Amino acid sequence: MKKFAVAAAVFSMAFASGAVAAETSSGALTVTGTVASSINLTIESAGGTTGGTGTGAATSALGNISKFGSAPTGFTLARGASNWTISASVGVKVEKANLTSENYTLTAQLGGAPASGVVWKLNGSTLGTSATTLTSTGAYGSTGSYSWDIVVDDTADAASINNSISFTATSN
Amino acid sequence: MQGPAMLPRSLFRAAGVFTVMLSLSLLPAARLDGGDRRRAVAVSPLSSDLSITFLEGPVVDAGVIVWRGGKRRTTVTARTVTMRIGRASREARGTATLRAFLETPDPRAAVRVDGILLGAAPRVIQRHAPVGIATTHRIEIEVPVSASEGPLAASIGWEVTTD
Repeated sequence: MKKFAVAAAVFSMAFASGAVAAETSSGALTVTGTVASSINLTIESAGGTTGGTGTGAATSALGNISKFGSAPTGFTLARGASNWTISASVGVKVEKANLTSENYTLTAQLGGAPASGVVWKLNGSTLGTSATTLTSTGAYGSTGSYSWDIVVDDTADAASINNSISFTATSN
Repeated sequence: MQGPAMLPRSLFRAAGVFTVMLSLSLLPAARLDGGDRRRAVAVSPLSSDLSITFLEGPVVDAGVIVWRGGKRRTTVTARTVTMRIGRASREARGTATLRAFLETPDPRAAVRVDGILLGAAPRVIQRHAPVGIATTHRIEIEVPVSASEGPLAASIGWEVTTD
């Protein structure tokens, strides 16, 4: 009787293993790519009635401006003896990704020559159609605030002062 | 007479029972062999039929991974891969469980298959995957902005086990 028990047990194990044994297979898929460093500049705020803030293509509408009128939204107006100035600020944020740079240089320039008798300034520097450095130690991830002044001479023609400011950040 | 009759009684009984059990165990196989084709589908495929084939090749290139800004602090690049278990067939020749794991990780990237984050241990990607029919899976490579730049390489291990 004892031998019977052993035989039955051995058989059961063999049968069981044969019944549940699953077939397996394996494979491999290689994933490749290249992580590239980048920085991203956004206009976070500006005087005027803005659009597109938080992106790299913001707009600011000032409406009609005059020496003895009211200041545009977000601006202050200062009247001088022979000119007048509207002032606000521009917030610019630069973020980095996959980059070991500690800071960046920020420049700005006008998209086109300003109207005669009109001067655009950022951070106290007069802007032209060539790059002007605003900072050479910009901190990533924080919004830098730069004063923005438009100085209009009393002799300037009453006309559109439309223009654009291009900001360029370069990692150091 | 010499022969089985001379065996001890206990041993003879054991051999008899063994025979009966063996016959019972063979019954399902015999029925499958003689049954119709639909019933035969339930048979587990042979291991030689479980080879994994990536129809676009064994390498998927995520290309240049560049963060494009925004509040999300990672860059996710997605690709799809089409794979087949076993040789191609018009109908599924059974089903299998598909698992995946990071065979060779790249510490800078997280890899997901069909939304499932991969690690060193295999994770189930698809249960009841059809054998013989191509299936498509989404591969996501997520790189945080803090990761260093440079070439990226990882290897996804796949395992198939018949259901």
